[in-house]
Amino acid sequence: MILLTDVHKIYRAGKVEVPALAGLSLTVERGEFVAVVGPSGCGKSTLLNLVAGLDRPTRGTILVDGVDLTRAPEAALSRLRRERVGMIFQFYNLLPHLTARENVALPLLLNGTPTLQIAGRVEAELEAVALLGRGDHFPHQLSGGEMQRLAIARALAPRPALLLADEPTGNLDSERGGAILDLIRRLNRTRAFTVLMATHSPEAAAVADRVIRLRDGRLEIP
Amino acid sequence: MGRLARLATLLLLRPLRTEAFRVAVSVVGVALGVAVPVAIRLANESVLSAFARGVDAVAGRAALTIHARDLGVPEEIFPLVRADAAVAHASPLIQVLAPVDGMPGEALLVLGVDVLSEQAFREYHLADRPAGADPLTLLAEPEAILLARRFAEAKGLAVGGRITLLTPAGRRAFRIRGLLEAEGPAVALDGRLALLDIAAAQVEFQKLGRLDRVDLVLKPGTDAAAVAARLRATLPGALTVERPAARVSQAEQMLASFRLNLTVLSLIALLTGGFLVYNTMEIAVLRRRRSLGVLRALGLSRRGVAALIAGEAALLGVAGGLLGALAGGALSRAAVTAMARTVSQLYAYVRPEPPALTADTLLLGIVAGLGAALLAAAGPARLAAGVSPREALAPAALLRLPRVAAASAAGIMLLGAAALLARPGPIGTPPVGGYLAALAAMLGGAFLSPALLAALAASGRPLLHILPVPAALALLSLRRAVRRNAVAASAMMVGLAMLVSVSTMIRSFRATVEAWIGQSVRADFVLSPAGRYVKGSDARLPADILPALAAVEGVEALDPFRGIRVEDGRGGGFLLASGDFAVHARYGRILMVGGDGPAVLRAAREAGAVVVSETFALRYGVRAGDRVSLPTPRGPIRLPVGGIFYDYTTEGGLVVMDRSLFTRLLGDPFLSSVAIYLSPGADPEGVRRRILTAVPGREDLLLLANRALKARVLEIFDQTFAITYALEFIALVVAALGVLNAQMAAVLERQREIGILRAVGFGRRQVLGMVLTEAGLLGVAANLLGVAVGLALSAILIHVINFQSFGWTIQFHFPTREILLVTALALGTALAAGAIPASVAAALPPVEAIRYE
Repeated sequence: MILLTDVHKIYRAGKVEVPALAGLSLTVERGEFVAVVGPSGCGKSTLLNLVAGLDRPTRGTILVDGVDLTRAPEAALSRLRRERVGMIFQFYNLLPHLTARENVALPLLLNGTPTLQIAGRVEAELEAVALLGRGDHFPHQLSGGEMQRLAIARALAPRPALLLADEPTGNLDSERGGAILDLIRRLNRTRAFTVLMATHSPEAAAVADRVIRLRDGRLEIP
Repeated sequence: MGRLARLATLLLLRPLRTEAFRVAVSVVGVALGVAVPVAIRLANESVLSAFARGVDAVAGRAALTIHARDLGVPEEIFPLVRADAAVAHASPLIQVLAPVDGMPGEALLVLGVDVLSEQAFREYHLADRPAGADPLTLLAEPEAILLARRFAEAKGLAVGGRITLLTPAGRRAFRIRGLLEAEGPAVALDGRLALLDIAAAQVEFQKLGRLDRVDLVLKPGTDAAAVAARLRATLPGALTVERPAARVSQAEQMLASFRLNLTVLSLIALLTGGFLVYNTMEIAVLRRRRSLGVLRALGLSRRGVAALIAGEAALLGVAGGLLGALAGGALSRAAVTAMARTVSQLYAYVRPEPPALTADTLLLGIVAGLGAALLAAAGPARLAAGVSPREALAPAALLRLPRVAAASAAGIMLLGAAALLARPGPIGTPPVGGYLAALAAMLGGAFLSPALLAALAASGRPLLHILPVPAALALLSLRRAVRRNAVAASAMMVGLAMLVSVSTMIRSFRATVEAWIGQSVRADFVLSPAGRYVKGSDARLPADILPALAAVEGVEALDPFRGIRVEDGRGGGFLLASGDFAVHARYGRILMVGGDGPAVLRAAREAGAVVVSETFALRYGVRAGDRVSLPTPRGPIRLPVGGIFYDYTTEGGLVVMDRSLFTRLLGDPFLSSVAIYLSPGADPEGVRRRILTAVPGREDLLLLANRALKARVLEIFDQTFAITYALEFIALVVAALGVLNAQMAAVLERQREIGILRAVGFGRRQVLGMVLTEAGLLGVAANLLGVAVGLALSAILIHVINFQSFGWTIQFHFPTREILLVTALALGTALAAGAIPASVAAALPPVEAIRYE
């Protein structure tokens, strides 16, 4: 599903070069749930951004779902995100002026799902994250846990092959965080999409099939 | 609902719902920007079409018309013309614009017609008369006059009643014998038409032996152009033979500079409106970075994001355009009144109908609004498309200081381009270079605003430790949010620059005119017919009043002035005038472009030379010592130019010769006005009374004292610029809206930051102080830039645009008062605009602000 070969990423801040990834190679199988852990600044978020096609590596190749992200044109990366990759974030990043239902419908409208199917798909997704009764609420009317469940519904609505999760429990207490992890794990099993999750919480990492550790932009060999 | 419509609803309309303030600011900005050009365009069209309608109506079926403007056509040529093989019908006409006694500002177009030959040319229908009766037979009765019914009814006049017109011989009463339906010539000047028998008209208007026009209908199959050329060659004197429609294009040409200036000024309103949209959109994009980043993460392409911003601009543009077109339609009624007054005073008497908002003008307004908004959104759309989702989505959005250097380089290049473009072209041609220079200067200033703000922030850096904390934070924020602040400062700068430049131009112009009349208008009194102030009206005095005036006790000298409009043979015209050079050299003061006035006048009198105005010299490329060709009834004559003088009263140019030469060459015994110089020690009030009794039966004469005359000139000047003052007001509104929007956005964006400050112990007053300091600094920057750009623009207006359009030399007058006023306004506006968001920010409960995410 994901194949990284000797990936380097160097950020420039003025004249200073900051290496975020330094020769990372990694394979994630289809349907696998992989947690990436490591201290702040180890390159977790950079890895996720590269796999999402939001950023390009300085060197090395990245294959996601058969697409070579280092060579694909900008438009192909956008299409990949519309159709094959879902993302959730620590701070939810819901659109504040849209209702829960509309937030979930948005990616379906963007990826060209036939309009007649959209309403049914939205209801199904809301049901899957137990937010059926809150479809007409705006994000600011929801609790933190509810907002993250809504973000999951939005990410999964286009039936992506890959879910990228960046510190999905970072803003939640342990009880609600646990519930979110359970939800992701359950959906990962029933729908068979791949999960790549960045986290610094050992509890979160525990639900994954496999845990990889990053330190200074490289895999840490245990 | 279609997918696109649904997306548009969710991504375009929905966010706008929560941004009522920004939407309102943008729509009002576009509407203001569209309303002004729409109003000016409608008024322009109305004035021109009134002119064309009048010419058409009066021309009737005439294929050619023979005239010599104010010189008149000698009667003797009429039989020659009628005998021409190509001419089917010929009709002699007297045509004068006569002021109506007792109705100030009203004038009637009086046609003196030959009853027998008139039928082939024009149709008249009497109201309340059986069809078939020839209305012209009514003119056979003595004192008979026919009026258009529309005018008569508006003024409460009826058949059998009387109307008094002002003629060169004084007041003349006529008996109304019939009223004409609104057909044919009776529609000219909105019904201000009167018919007289030609013989009566010649007598009453003192035109014995003269005609104003001869109209021709040609035999079928003849070539009008060839006939015109043949007649021009064979007829004696300097006669113009042309198609009647040529008058319309002459009027268009005459009004071209005036109209272009107004149009460009009105387009500046659209430019400022566009700037406001740019301002609000750019700030909105900066604020919505995160949302845009989310959309990109959801797979919306860069082009999709740009389309989103363009779509929003389109919505705002169409709404503002529609609103602006409607407002412009309403505004055009006031504009046409102001414009008709100016045109009637400066160019030709015109009575336009109130304009109606047509479908195509409405559409044009919407298109203009849409175009301006889309153009304004180009930058913000690019900014939005370039939003990096990675940075926008990072928990603490990375702060990147924008590159000030690139913008500054662009700004300097634009200013350089402005300097290169700011060169006057030939006088009387459209000053396209000047307009482009003004635009480049304005944009150049806008591009320099980031550098100025950065410099302002940097200059405060050494003070950071001694400044109160709120002020120090404001200074830091100025630098950090330099892009948002630069946009706001630019929007405000544009408004201020307009204010400075236009008021500097008007002030300089007014000061120049004031100095000029103070110097050159020396006469104690000026006597003129009341109709003098209706342009094109027949305002002549018989020369036989001069001995009576000279005999008045206390009058030392008289300087009779006579000016007639003549053709220049290239489709334009100028004023050919005369004065008493000996008297003027002794008592008057003429301001020469080099040379001593009295000496030049005396020499010119001796040599039989003329003096020409600066406008004439520039327009026709004439220098002192050259010879100019002047039309006379006996054909053109070439006279030497003795000198060039400054003049701000006549557009198109003025050629003056001594009265003795004028009478000999032109055989015109009339006066337009008489300047009267009093003996030293004479009592002005006593002389005034004696003058008025010296010309009995002439209550229609206007005797203006020196001061009143000067005031009258300045009054006309101020009326001419009334529209310009209205535009300044709009500039100010735009400036205020720009700052208000920027400050509002700044506070909303920093709610969280402000909450944190409150949480660590900042008091409300400190928050207030911080926001107000930032607003004040913004005002200072906008003011510095606005004054600098405004002064540059005013120099372009004075030395390039106005000079090239009208040929007037205006002395630059440094606008100290205006600059102080603008500075006060800029700071006041910035602080007032900052006060609302500052109080919002201060009132925000800290908990609420921190929670905001």
